[in-house]
Amino acid sequence: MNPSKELMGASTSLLVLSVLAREANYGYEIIRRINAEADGLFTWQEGTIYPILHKLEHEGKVRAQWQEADTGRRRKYYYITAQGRTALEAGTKEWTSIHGMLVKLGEAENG
Amino acid sequence: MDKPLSQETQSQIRTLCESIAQRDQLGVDAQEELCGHIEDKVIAFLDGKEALSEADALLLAIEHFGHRPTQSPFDRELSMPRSIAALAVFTLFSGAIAKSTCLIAGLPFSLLLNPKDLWIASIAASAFYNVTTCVLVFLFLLHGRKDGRLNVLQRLELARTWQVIVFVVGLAVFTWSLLPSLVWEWYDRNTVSAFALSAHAIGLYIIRGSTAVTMCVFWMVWCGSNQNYARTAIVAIAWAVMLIVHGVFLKLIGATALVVAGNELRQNTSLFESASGLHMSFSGLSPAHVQFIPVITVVAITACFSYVLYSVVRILHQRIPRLA
Repeated sequence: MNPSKELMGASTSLLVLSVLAREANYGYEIIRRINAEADGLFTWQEGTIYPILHKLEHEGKVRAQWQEADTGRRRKYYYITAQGRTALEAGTKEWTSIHGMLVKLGEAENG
Repeated sequence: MDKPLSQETQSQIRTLCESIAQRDQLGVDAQEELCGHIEDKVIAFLDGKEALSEADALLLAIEHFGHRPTQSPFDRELSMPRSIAALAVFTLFSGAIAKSTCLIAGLPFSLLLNPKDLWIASIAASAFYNVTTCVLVFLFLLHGRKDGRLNVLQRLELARTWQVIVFVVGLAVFTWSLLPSLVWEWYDRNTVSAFALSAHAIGLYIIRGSTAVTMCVFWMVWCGSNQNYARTAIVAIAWAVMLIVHGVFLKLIGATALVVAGNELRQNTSLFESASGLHMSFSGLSPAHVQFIPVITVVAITACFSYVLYSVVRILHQRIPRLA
């Protein structure tokens, strides 16, 4: 089952911020990790990551820096900022609340 | 550290990124980032870190097999010698059609300028030369497609590019030499010196040969590259310049011919009077202007017809892949 487009659209920034909250990374690795974590639930097209990263950078939630990757090549690493961490916490809370509400409603209907 | 990619692959990645950046109006930073991403992806595939999905495998299989509808009919389907031969067919054929059209369109001007039908005979001979060469090259191509033991033509097909060019040009010149050369006859009648005669004949050979070869090169550049507006414009401009130069050359020859024709007409009173009478009806046009009209017609029709012909061939190749 693939999540709907609307649901995915609402969660993209949070997913990217979640990955960056663990460690700074560059585009290719970020999308690889997200797709790996999704474990078949969805697969992001690789080109979609950059508009999201650039938007987050523009909003000040991440900052970018060119540096040498483990592979020895120059890559643009993205770091989550304090503003980004705040946004991630707030977003996660919202999602958890909605999720909790859905679970409650589901239990009431079944029970 | 991963194994580095070859220079060729890196260069291809750069080219791809440049085209994407140009298309999507990306900045240098984003372009670099994109290149890095594609590099990582290629390396991951090579190292086996990135698993191939069924869709990826299918794409690879199609790419290896060849996707006919998107292939350039000349560049990928045919070998280099046959590409050149095929391009020669289209170029010569389009030239023949253009000249035949000019034969009809230029009839009044020919009669006006020279009662001995200089233009009609010249154009007819030239068109016949083109058609003959075109048919011969086409037969060569057709024969080369058949299976079986190699014969002389098939061996030629496997020959080096320059050898095939020599064959095609030689065949064209040979065919032309079989036709009665109007330039020779005409200059003979006017007792022009042998030196002038040779210079004009050689000049015509050179200009016609170089025209065919140049057109072939333009075709190949256009057919063999990713066709975008810039490349198409460059080839179109180059072609136009070449045709204009060709036209100017023909005009110079025509102008020389007019001077000689004038001398002949002055010697033959009755011809001169009839020609003068006709010429009076077109008093607004000087002989040089009249002479230039068929040249422009040839240039314009050749260019238009070649483009239409090529478009039709491309559509046929796309619609009917088995023809490719």
